[in-house]
Amino acid sequence: MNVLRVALLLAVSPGVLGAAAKEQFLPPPKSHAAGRDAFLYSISGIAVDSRNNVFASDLLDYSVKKFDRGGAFIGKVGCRGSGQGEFRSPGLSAVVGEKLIVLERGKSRIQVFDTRLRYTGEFAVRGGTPVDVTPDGTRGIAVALYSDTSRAMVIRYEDAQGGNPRRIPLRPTGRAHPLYGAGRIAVLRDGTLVVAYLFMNRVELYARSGKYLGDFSIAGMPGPDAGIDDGRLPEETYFRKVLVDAAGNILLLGGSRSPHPGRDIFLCTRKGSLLRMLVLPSKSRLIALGEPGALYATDEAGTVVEKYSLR
Amino acid sequence: MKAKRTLLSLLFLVILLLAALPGAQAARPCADILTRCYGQCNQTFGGPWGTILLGGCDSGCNLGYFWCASSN
Repeated sequence: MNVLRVALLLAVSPGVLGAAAKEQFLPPPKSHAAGRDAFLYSISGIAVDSRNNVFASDLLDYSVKKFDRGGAFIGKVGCRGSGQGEFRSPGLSAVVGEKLIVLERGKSRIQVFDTRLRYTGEFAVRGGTPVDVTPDGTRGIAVALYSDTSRAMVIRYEDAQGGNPRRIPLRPTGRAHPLYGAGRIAVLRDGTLVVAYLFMNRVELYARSGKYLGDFSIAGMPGPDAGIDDGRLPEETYFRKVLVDAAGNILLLGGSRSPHPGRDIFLCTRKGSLLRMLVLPSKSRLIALGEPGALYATDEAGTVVEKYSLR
Repeated sequence: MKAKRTLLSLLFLVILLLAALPGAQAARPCADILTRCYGQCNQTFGGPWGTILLGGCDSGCNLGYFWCASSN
């Protein structure tokens, strides 16, 4: 049985920041147990608000749970169902201002809560299955869609309630299976959309208008087109999550194709220059940024959220 | 003597295959699940009236594959 362990530890990494890539091993975090209500059975999404409260989607508990900056359980919303504030399969989430956006795995439904976990509405997306959500500016959100029959795209909404959607088709993957078009997304402060593909070593940038700006890949992993033409469906990920920091840099959590599978975090400029490489002490599936220099990561089993200092 | 050696060689081959099998399956577990999922869809909706349902079922398999592979 999984025991709740929301470990929030400041792990100070002593390295010197520089232009050269530097590999650092972060020390393993400590953990502590809390009440039963706060158990995390299978974390499928994490998000952090401006007060550094952590929201964890719990797939097996059909809920989203809120913890304060010290890791203390505050409350939860949700139970199994399809009504308001209920979930079938809560997944990735994002906080925009005072709104919490929660995707449902394999469903077009997106629910919106305030950061006190009160349901405020929902909307549905069309054209594919949402596979990631990210803040877009101070009010908007962007949602990445995957479809096995059509081209992958990102929808950028003017507000957190799904207002004024704008579709950004991603570059076609040619002969490759549509799976190769599935990506994780983040939006830089100037509105540039960053797409990190799950099954390709490729990170693409798109202007707010949707114009393609360029791409880069991470050295040390197979090239951007590796495996595309071998006729087999991809089964190993290059990137599990992408984030952007306040300085306008891009953080990429490496997948099973990464040199240290599931543990590498690549900090890059928007032009693809690798500034730093961090290696987490254990595998992670999701990462999120909080207060300046704070990084949150789930463990491989999805039962713990760990907090690291990037300073 | 020769027959015994041949038998032992065959036995070795069988053991080698058996040992390799779980590894081979584990290498592509999502593809394995997808194949079985398609098979189930075909078995359930593969009749003359099931074209649309079969398509929907296969689509569900593809989505399942996505969630399986994306968690690797």
